[in-house]
Amino acid sequence: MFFKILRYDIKNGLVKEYKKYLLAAGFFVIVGFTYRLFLAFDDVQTLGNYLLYVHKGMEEYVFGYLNRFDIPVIWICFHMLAYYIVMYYPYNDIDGFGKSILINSKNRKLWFLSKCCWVVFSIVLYFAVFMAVQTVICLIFGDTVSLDVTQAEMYGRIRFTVMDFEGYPTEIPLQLILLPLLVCISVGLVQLTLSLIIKPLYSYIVSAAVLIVSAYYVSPFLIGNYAMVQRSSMFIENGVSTAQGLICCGVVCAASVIAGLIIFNRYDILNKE
Amino acid sequence: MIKIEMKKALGNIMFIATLIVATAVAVYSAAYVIVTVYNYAVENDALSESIFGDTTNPDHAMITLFNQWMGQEWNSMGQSLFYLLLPFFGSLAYSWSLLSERKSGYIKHIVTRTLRRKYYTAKYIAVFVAGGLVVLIPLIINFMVVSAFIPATTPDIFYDIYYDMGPTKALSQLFFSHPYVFVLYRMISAFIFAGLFASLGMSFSFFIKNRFVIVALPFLISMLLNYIDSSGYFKYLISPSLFLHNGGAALPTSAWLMLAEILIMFALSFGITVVKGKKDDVF
Repeated sequence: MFFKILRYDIKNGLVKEYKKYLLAAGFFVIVGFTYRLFLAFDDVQTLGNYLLYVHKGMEEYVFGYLNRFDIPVIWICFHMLAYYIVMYYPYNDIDGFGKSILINSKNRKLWFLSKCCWVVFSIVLYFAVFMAVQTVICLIFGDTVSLDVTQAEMYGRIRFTVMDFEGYPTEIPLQLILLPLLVCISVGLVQLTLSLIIKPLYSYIVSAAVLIVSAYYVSPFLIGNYAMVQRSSMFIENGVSTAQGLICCGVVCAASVIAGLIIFNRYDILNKE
Repeated sequence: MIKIEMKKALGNIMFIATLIVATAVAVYSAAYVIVTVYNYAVENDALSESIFGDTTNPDHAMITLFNQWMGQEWNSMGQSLFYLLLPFFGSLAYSWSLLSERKSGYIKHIVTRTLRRKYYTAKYIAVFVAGGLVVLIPLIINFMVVSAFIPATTPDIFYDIYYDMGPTKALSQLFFSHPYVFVLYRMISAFIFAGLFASLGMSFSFFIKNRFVIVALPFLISMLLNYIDSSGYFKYLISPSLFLHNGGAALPTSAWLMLAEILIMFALSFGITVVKGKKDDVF
């Protein structure tokens, strides 16, 4: 029964919602070309450089009356677009045909777990579209399709405060792909759970708030930090480590799913506007 | 008709909830600024006393109401969050109402009893005002809270690095000569842009049947404009989320560009509403 519900969600939440992914692809094309034509430090480029440009984030903000807090726009745009894609399908579904499916399945847990899986698949597809578009742009410009970051980009874009930085950080691929993906999935699941309590639009505001707070403070408890390459302990003294990121994302995902199961068990599916 | 629509706009739960959220962000920004200023003042006095044995230049013009309220300061995350979400707040207030009334069939009862022109005009005005108020009221509250703790020292040109109001910023002369008028300009421009974002969202109702998309689309457009500004395509800031306050990127702003954007957004939103409203089949 779970796989039937999941198949329904994939068909109606992913395949039929292709326009959202087209919108995302259009945005990634703009980002890729803008980076390559105007913002790259030199002509030797790799796919990793493109990813670093998007996932770099911002340096730690140190308060000062002459220090402006500039939000990392491209980083925020990337994540907010992902959260927009997973914002309203579950809510719309429970209001429509999903209600019949829920009643016929006679199992609220399966329905909610299917939605959790749908969030995961949606964000994985979002990242896949991102990677595919950047890879194509790489190939168009004849750049190397590799997750390695060139020295020029790394030293030009990242601000280092660690004193003992040597060699090439081997965890860069994890920082460029895995951690941003896991952070997106975690916040997407939190958004899904919160949309059961407050409306999806307000849970979207909460996601934005999480990102802004993470940009403002460097803390292992603020999940957005793990999605920023600049905040890694490889580069800054009080940064966050990859291991911490994996644990934090795991905990947040598990907590969101469990909380969502508990809340949805008592959720009134009939009293909708 | 306008009275009925305004009552519906300002009395609905989404408007009130959005207003509460926006006000909470504004009050948080005020609290952060006040605490920071207090800590700075205490530390500064203590430092001066330890070095010079007596307090020296208090630098009153460095920290004033006019560069610490949300529309002008650039340190707190509250102002970042508020202006990033400004289009979202505006749309959340009431822009979904036209689609909601079309789906429920309420529009059929209205259009058969009054002129379409009256209904759509009233709806446009209500959406615009509700969207604008949901941003204006928190700004006023933020200004009032900050003014209760930080003195309204007239900005001094010799402290210009603490204001970032150089000649490349729109109406910067007003900031130094008539700071209260400048504050009014900031608030009114935020009101207008929030209202226009809301109206734009409402005009999308004629093409899009999903209210989440209608509310989120102005925000996504704003994000795209933010990205274009951060990439340095243009010499001036073009994103309202960035040029409506001083916490945006340190690029020049132009009052003429702002006016042009207002006219374009108004023409687009009102034009679509008028043209589609006239021909749209509500049955």
